[in-house]
Amino acid sequence: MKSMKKIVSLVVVTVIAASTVVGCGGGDSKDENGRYTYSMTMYQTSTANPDAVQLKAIEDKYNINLDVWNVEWQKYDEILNLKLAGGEVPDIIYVKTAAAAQKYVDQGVVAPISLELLEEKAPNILKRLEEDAPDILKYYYIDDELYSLPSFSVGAGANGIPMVWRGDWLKNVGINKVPESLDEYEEAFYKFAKEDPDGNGKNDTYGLSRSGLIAIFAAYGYVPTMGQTGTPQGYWMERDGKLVYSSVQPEMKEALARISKWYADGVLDPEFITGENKGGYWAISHQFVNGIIGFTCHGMSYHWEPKAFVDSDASSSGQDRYEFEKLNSEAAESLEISGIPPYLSKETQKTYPKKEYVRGERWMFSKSLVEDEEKFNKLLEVYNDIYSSRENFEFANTGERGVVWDYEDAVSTNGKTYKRTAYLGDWKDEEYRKENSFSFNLFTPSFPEAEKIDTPRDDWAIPRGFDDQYMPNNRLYVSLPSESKYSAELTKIEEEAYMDIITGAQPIDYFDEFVEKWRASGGEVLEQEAEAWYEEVNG
Amino acid sequence: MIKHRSIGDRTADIFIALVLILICLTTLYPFWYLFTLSFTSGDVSLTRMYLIPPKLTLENYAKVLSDGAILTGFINTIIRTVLGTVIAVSCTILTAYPLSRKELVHKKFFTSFVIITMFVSGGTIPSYLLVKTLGLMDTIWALVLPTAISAYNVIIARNFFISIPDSLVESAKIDGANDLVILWKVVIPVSLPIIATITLWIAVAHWNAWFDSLIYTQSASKQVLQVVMRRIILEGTQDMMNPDAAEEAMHVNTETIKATTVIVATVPILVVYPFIQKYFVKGVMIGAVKG
Repeated sequence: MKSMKKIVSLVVVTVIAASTVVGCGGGDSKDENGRYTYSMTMYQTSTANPDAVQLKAIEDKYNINLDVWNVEWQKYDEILNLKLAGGEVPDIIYVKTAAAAQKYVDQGVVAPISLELLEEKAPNILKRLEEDAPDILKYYYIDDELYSLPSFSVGAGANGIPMVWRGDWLKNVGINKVPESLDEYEEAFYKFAKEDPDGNGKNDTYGLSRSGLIAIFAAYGYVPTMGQTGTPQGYWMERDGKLVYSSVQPEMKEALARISKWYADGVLDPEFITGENKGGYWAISHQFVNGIIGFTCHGMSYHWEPKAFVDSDASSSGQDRYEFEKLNSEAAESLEISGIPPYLSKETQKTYPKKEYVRGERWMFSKSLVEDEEKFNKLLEVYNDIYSSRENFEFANTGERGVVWDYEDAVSTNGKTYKRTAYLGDWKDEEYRKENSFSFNLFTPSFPEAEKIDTPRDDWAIPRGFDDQYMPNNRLYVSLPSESKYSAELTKIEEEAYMDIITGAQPIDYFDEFVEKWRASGGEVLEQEAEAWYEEVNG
Repeated sequence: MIKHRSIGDRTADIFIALVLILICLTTLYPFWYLFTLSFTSGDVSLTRMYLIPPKLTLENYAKVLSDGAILTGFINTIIRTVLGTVIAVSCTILTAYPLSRKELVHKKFFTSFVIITMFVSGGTIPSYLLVKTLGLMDTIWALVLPTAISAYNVIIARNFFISIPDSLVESAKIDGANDLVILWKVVIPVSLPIIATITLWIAVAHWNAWFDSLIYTQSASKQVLQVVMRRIILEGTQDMMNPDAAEEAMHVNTETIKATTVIVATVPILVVYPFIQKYFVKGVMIGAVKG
């Protein structure tokens, strides 16, 4: 009995001791070096290393401390919510969605940023936004106050949703130019499916699968949820100055009629239901790489780009092209790649706006940080310096030029010589980079006044129409008040209707019934809310 | 005397055997596929299925086993599994045994007190707050203490203990043994099957757990293997993408590296099974039947 008591008291004492040791820390004013400590969360693909060389460099340059919390990206909202519930609020919060932003405002953990303060302390942020995305800030207001700063990247070079044709298949079925109109598309798809383009004597090929549908729908003017790769999302698009939901537009009925005919005729890959990617890296189209379909819009343009430099590894070409080359290197040369062209949309005479940078992802600042005037001002001054010139931005993003990286001349596979970014010294080692890299910024602007650096990517992508795509965007940048209430049910109704119509389980006229059902199940409320928001923002 | 079996009997047997083999293969195949991939060289097209590696290499293993994060994760997982299992098994026995004794006062109350937690649980946020206010954040204790007692295991063990004849305990008492001595010298030795079973369950649960490490551990040096593995596996999937990050600059591990990581993280715990298997079957049966 005595020994039992001893064990119990031992356990209790240990727990208490442990809690006092660990429970210490905190305190949010300056440290002994006069540095403020900013806790923050961000997009990360690996665990943040508090001793990363690049992190230290930024801290020393700006005389601040950065405490980066590890919040796994895949469970980001869940873990962040736990921390917030536990009273731990990071000073700088990276927010994943508009819905989450709204929630943090409702919970009162974040504070609005005054535009006057930004103008006074960080005019460079506003200047860079004005250059690349004028008027962007209006989309970040919640309840008439600016609560967040945008997160986007223009630095990645021209890119967009690709249209990829197998040139060798086109030739094999007797088509000598890349199809340009919807009817020519249809002809090519039928020939791919019926005329044995791979010459193996078997009827085992199809025209297109899931991702290719986006080009077809776009030709009719709208992009419904069905047409998207990746995380499907309902698109809200402009129609006669109003914001409408794309999946219920009457043009979609015509598009579905055409697509369901393809399905019945064995032109659309029956596996389109599960999509083209069969696991692993998301952007790889297994159906295309394995020669089952001859047309795809899977991934982004850079997944299909050939390797940039003569001396780089074969695996440095776009992931889809690399996989394709492994199986069929000759056919890789024949791939016809371009952005979604404007003429496909001729039938509806629709043009879409240029690239837009409004995203769900954004930066918010905790109430306690904004209320600590001096500390917040210091942070804004740091951002202001980062956005003052490309050199300063590069320092905060990658590291100091000449120490971490520098330009070198390299010959491209297209024969021209380009300036290429190369790492120096220890930074050449990939493991070292992984351990020691750190980026501190809000968004990646273009710095129009700085020297223009040509890249093989732009020289490959721009002539192919990837700089100014006629691709529609989702123009609803907020989460609608009733969205969470209805969206699960509405998504189900929509998915079933589209699938049933394409596979012939329901006649084409079922589309009208679906639209009615969609509206009655809450869609009408969302339409009104979206319209009201659009008017408010553009009014 | 062997009875001559009819043709119908035999066809039925063959049919059953075939179906079972088929089911066995469907569960084995995914594992075999990963095993194959782990020995496959990265320059082979990975969009196809293979039964044997088309191009054999050990490079994947060399790469995975020399990865610092995986090694730290491995060590942390072993520590957590051993420590967690010792704590959980002792706590389970120390709870279950009293509950199995008739002379325990308010036995019914205590038993329902344990059982009720199987229906109502606190949820993630209260658990997080508890761990945080106890000051266990970023320590190994956050991983082993909250799971120290599982009601289900306690009930299973209690049912087994009940099945031990009273006379065994009484005779020990007559010989002058106190309760702890009886537990240690009499009850535990005859309960090895159930203890082995629970030990295996707990050990496997600890080995596979990742979410607690994800939320309670901050530093990279304290993360368990499954968290590291998960990150490697998820790399490049849609879930891990950030549309506004310069994605093409990202280093993505190949499928072969991912497969190797899975094998490395799974095989150690698989190896434990055969050794405990014989207790495993017996233990569950006895605990369940006598309940």
